[in-house]
Amino acid sequence: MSSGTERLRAAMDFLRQASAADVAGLPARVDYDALAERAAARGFETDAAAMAEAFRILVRMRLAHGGRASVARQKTATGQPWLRR
Amino acid sequence: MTIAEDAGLSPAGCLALLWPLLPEALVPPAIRETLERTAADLPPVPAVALEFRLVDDPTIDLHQLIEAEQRHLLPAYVAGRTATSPGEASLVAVLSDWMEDARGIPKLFLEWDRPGDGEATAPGVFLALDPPGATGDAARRKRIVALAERLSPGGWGIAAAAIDRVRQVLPTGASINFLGFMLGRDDALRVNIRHIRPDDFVTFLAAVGWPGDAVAASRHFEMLVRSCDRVTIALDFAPELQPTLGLEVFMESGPASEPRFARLFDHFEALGVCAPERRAALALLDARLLPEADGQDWPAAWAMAAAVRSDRDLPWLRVRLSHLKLSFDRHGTPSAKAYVAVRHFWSRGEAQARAPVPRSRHQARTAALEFLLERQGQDDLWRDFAIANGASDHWVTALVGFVLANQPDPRARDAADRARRALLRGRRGGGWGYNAASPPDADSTAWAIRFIRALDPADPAIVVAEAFLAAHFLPDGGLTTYAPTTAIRFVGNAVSRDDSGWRGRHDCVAANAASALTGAARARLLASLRGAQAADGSWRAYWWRHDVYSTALAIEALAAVEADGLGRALAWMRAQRPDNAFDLAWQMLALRHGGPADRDAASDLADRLAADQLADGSWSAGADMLFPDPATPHRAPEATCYPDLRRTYTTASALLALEAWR
Repeated sequence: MSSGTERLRAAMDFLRQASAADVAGLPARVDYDALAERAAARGFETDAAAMAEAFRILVRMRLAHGGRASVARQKTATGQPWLRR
Repeated sequence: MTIAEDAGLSPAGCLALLWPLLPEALVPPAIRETLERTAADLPPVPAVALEFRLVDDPTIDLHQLIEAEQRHLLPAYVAGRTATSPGEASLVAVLSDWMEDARGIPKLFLEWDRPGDGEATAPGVFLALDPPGATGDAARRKRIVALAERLSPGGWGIAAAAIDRVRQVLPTGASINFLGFMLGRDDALRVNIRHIRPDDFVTFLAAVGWPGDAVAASRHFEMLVRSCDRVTIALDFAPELQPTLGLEVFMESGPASEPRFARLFDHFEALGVCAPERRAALALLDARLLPEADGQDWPAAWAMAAAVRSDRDLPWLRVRLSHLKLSFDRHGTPSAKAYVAVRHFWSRGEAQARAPVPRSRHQARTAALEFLLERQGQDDLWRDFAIANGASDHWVTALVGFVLANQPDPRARDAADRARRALLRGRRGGGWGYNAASPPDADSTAWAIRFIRALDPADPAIVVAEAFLAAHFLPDGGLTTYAPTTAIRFVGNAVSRDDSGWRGRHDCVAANAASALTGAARARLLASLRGAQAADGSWRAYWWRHDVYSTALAIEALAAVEADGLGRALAWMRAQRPDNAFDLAWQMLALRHGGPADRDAASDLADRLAADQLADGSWSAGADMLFPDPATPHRAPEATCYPDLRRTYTTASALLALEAWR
């Protein structure tokens, strides 16, 4: 059985090497087991927890490179409402 | 286009991420499963809405939005469909036609009533229509004819009669924005109309021959227009005009930054059409789901679709209470619905959708004016920004009105005059505020004075407003935003809190007010402004992230009385390198008061501004307003900014600058 680090690395490698063909047939629900099975079918030994973590890391890496500037500007309002006098 | 991976973006993923935000009492597990099954069978476009009755009725309808940019996803879907009913055959036919040619019809809404209730259903198909003139009426009509005939044999005949009947009596500025073919409802047709003003409501319904009680309906309509950003009217033809009526109520912002949703729900509860527990479940739905957030899981197919996108593209999901609807049946009995929209976005897709469309200066002025005219509300006000107290109307309207009052186009003058009357109706204590929920302040009042004076220098409201503005002088000659006599009360505070920051000296407000005041008050304020200039030549803003706007206003005010003495200010302005249209516009306006080299430089900036304009005639939001804690005396470097997300404040500023360099 591979270690947690190895499973995470495998999940990252799978996401990096994935192609459009890997999208087909996956469920449109939160199901990282399905992603892990797809990875296993491609020869990457991993699990659901590692897949979830790998996806989060992938997104955060893109974010660090300025991938979502437009959303970042759309702040939700904060502060304390004031009342009409 | 990235067809293959986008095909994995089933709208069922929207529901998977929505369910944790809704109580099971509202959407029981069995209904969730039914909706998911229905969504899984829809075109792979991840933008859906659920339609809830606001009384204790478990019925939930499912809607899907498909925009013209997403048509590349339809061919594979259509090719794989085998129609099982005449309605579904019509749907496939219309999708096949529209995916080849979407001119004049920028988006479709598909609406499944009570999905999974056992009957073979077909969706209602709503065609969004471009505003008049955007496509050309002849071309648009041709496309509607083609699609209507595919939706139902003889469909165009019914639609043509209804469209002509409505169009013949539409008031100025109003237009048809949706045609709804109700395939599941005996081929009924719905016509949605936008931009009807309250003054025109009864006249319009009478002229179109609506057989209901228009006067009774107008009371609701007026209330709704006052409480939201947009109300559209839905008329039903079957084929005769029916006595039913729908009033769809839209907000630009979600509930988290739009307190007027609460007012609408209060109204609906008072009418007896909204159950408190339904309100509690829906009224505050306003979330952005980001897959990088801790604990935020993502649907499997969506995660893989994101992984295979380009390096800079990121997904996110918006969930919000989209709009409300107040309907009246043939007996005039009201009922209400709420719509929860769930939509997946790609960050790069947004950037591409907002790419500039380079124009000449003249073209840019024309497009900007059209944008501003289109954005005027049915209550004749403009709105922008989103803070805890919602959007601004009076303050924003005063600036936009000032810009339009100086435009040569008679439509601009008409719009400005209607806005002036709306502002005068909303005056409080001689002045105006950020919005109706806010106390009157110096900056809003200064812009209102400048606006009203531009239309009618003799308007008696100006004298009263100048007196109100003069009450904002501080002992040192500076000006504050909120006068000592203006009460500011905060939600949840039984005792008053420290608001000394909001009552301190604000040179950005003084710079504006100096062009609004007259006589000795103006001279006093100008003297104070001269003393407040920073060593680098600028004037520091309290309410803005940058100082270009405040410095430009100060230069403008001082230049009106002295040709010299602006050297340091102009040197500072010359050195600025704005990264947004708002600051660019005010830099251009300031450099008018410099020498020939400054004016040449500003003229070049006008070309740059025109080249940065977006397709809809606006410019990307650049007016970065701050909303500091009321006790904060100075601008903090890390302050959160609240840009004009509706792009109205920036666009009005850009139009003012382009007009100055005509």
